[in-house]
Amino acid sequence: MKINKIVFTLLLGLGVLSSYAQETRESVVFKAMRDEASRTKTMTMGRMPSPFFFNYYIQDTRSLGIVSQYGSTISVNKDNGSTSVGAEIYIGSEQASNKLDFSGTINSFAGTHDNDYLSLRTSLWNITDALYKNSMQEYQVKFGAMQQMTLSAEEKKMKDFVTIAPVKNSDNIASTVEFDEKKWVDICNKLSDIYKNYPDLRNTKVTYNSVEKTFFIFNNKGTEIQQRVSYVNISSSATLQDENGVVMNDAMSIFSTQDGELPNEEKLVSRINNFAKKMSGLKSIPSIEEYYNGPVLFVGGAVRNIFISNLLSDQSGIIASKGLTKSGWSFNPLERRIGRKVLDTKLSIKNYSSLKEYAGTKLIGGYSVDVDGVKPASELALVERGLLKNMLSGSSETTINKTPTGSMRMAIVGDKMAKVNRPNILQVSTSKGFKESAMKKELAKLAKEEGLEYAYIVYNSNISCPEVYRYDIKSKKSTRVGSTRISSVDLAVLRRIPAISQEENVVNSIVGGVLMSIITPKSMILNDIEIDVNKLNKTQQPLLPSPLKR
Amino acid sequence: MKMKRKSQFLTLILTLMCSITWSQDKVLEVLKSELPIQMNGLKGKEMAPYYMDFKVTETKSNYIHSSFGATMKSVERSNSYFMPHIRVGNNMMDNYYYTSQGGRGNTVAVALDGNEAVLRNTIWETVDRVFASAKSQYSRSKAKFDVDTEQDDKAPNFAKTKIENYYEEPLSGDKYNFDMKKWNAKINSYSAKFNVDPNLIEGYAMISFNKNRKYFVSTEGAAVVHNETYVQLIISATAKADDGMELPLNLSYFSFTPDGLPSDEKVMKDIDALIVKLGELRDAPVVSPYAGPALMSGAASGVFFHEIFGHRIEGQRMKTDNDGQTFKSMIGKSLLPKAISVFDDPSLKTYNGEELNGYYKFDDQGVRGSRVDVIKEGILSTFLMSRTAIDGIPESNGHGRAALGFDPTTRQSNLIIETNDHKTDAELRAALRVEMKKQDKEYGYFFKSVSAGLAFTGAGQVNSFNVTPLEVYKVYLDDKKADILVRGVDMIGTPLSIFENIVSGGGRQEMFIGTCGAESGGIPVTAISPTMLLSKVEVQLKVKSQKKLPILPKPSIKK
Repeated sequence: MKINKIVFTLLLGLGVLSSYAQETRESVVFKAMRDEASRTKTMTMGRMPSPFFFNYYIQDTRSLGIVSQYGSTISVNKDNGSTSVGAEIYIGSEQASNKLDFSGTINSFAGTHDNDYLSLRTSLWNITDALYKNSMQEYQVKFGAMQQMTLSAEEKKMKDFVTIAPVKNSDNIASTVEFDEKKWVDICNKLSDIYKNYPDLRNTKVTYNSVEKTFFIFNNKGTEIQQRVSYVNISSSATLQDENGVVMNDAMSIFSTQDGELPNEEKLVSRINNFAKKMSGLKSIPSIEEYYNGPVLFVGGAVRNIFISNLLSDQSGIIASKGLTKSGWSFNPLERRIGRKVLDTKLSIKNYSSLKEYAGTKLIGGYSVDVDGVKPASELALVERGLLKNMLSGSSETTINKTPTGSMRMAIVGDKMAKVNRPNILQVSTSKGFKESAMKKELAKLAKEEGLEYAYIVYNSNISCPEVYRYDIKSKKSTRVGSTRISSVDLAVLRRIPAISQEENVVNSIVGGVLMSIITPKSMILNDIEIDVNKLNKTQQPLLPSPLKR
Repeated sequence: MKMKRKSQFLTLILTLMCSITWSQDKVLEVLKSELPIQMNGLKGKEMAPYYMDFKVTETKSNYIHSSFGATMKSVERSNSYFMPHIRVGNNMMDNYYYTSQGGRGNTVAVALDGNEAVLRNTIWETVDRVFASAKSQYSRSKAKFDVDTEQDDKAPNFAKTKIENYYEEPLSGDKYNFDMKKWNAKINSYSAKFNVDPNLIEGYAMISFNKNRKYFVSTEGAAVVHNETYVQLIISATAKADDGMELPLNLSYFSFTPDGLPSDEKVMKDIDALIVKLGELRDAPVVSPYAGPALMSGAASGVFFHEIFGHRIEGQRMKTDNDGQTFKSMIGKSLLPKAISVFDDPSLKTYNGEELNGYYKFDDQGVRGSRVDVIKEGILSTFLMSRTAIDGIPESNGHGRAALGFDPTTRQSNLIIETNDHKTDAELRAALRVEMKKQDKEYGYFFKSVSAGLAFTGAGQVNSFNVTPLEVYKVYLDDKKADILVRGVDMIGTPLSIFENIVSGGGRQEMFIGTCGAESGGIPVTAISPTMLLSKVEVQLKVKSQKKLPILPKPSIKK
């Protein structure tokens, strides 16, 4: 009888233990959020009102970083789990709150990665207390300042928050990163050993990075979102000093959301060899002889970089922004050009939210609900035949946007917790494109019209190692040139584009802190581009020979 | 005869074994072979170096931080770094003449397995870059030297030293391993104790274990390879008083290996006492500004001496006219009561059975660390020295120290204050009351523990110090009245005047173990002192947080 009792007690005990052990991270996290929220919504201090709206954020991170050089590991950084706990606490109303910072930065404290309900609640309690106490000061500062400003009727009516219906959503929860340290240490070591065959290259490195972030987002209106974002990246960098003393730094990078989708070892060896060979070949390239102003053919990454720098800036791109300055509200100046021409009429820009594949390439930027709980339109026209139609906007009203576009994402790069407003799958397309094979012919034609004997082709406009070719019109030969400075390309230059390729490039990458797929024309020709010698990167040759050359 | 032969044979075997070990150390081998290649290669070049040394530091570190029973951070890291030190000019006037820090940022990561190609290439690239910056630094120094008035100090900028050759095997064995899982559970159990008190706004435990292997070779022929290990366990909790004042208290334990830390039972007992003390502190009255007599416990005096005295006996400061040079002209003069002596001894591994984190065999200039009797019976005798000589003290005594990535400068190690006129605690209290009476004070103070301090020594600023006490008691003239715990105290003053106020010392020798962050980075230091009686200290109300107590009670329901 006594024995039976003990067995029974033991079984019960095991039952309790296993039920705790089975608790998932999301169940513990959301319970802590809900329970703390039930207290937060009624908290008051003196005459201060309770928060009318608040968000809680918990961000779990795992990462692995490996750096190798000449066949050995230089460093391994493995984060098996770290957590940040963030919050936004607002008093007032949707129309007028204490919200002062519209940049997307989220105040956060370090939290626990353990499935510890009490610790997570304590972190939420801590940050809530600090932010709620700040909120009254922010409210008074903001409305004190606004009373001194001359605001238009439209600005006065503008709401701090757009009403968003609550949503419950889980996106991409399956883990796609292996964090296999041994495997990637071996591969990085093997790849980095290749550089022993390229003694002209210095400071060579092979780097592997994998990151997995899981976000838990909660608000007092009932929204509960769980999102997991992962990426893996293998990159290599090297430095070369040419015979004239110009120092060039270049890198190659392969990016995916899954280990399994990176190229196999054989292909990686070949890619590194190609990179190293190409870089070594720059040792004795000629520098450009004279100042050039004329048509330039931009290809591949150079085209992509032009669109990224012009379209994805908070200040001047297709992203609506808002801030409070001493003289009033400030907005992205492009907002005033809605309906007007901002690009060449041959160009259109769209943002897709859930496209899985494009022209045989898997896309990585897709998601179903943004971090504010807004479902993005499957297709959003931003520029149509050169005319600005729409801008990406968040939950704060601006002069043009009263409806969020569902483009707010949690940043996955950087130490601070932040929300950023970015496209997910951005397509820049043309209605009147040339065949790719005809682009050089078109370049020659334009150069001839300007009385030039040659033109330039830019594959990469990276300041430290631009990939620029001089294209001779008569011989149709391309010769790589070193040490160039290329004038910047702004939206004004993009209003008239003489020729655009009808073929497209699809690239997955991290841009502005988030995963993004970018589809752009393969090439385009721009007029009045200046190319000149860059004297900035010139230094003395090393005093002693490299150990690899002894 | 037979015996003798045997012994010769044994010696031969030992020598062979030793040389095999030396030559099998890949890192040392590369450093020793690459140094002459670089030095000879640069001979004949413009402003060729007159001295070079190479350092490699291999580090393995483990770190766990836990708050209220949950892990906040758990990190393991392995790194290896190369750093060259290059001097151009001559030992009287070189590129370090006007600045002791020329090498920041010249630390480059190298392979964890000692890969020869990586190390040789890194040496070649880094030496080329550092030599270029050494030349331009020297040119600037020369230009300044030509237009400035001569510095008062005429001693060499880089003094000769004994050339050391020393080799230690890499550390092996279980005692140097750190079991992350085991320690994570321990650390969580320590910080979980703070869950019992809902009034604590912070309660954490953290442990760090560092295992370093340091290589040093120089063009003078030095070759030093040695190991260092440190484990530090810190436990801290903060209460908040009703007026918003934040009240932290800490526990700190040190050992060279994880198994040297105190038992769980001892740590838990200390945490219980700390929680009780924090409860008392919350309700303790706030002090008013005060100037009068005080007792400082050994640990508090240790920090006090480290800040107000220790930084002023760091010899390299006397080299530059930019420093206040408080004690430069005071060698042979009385600074403290005759009964008090002060020495700094990096070669001391333990003191009264307690391990000291200021211990090292060689400093970061390859010089053996040795005891320096700075004050003998109240009289200032000498200074702590790196290889930067000063007038009257031509040689290093092994105190050139630096954190990884910094150039060495003179720093403290184990600073020890002793008295030969030992008073008991009761005698010190009686003497305190005598001082109170003399100064017509109703009460004095007893500073039991302090958290940290800071000192300013520059010529262009007020030479002052600030020490942050954590646990302070008001001691009444009327010995029938019990001591009262108080809060909100900061101790301030200027160094020379406070020295004149030291009356006597005694009680228990206590230790403060910490990290000192001066010019050459954060380095481990210890300060040991008896309780000190001061005829006058000045206290001010510490700056307090303006934030009110948390609005909602701390969550406390586990499920």
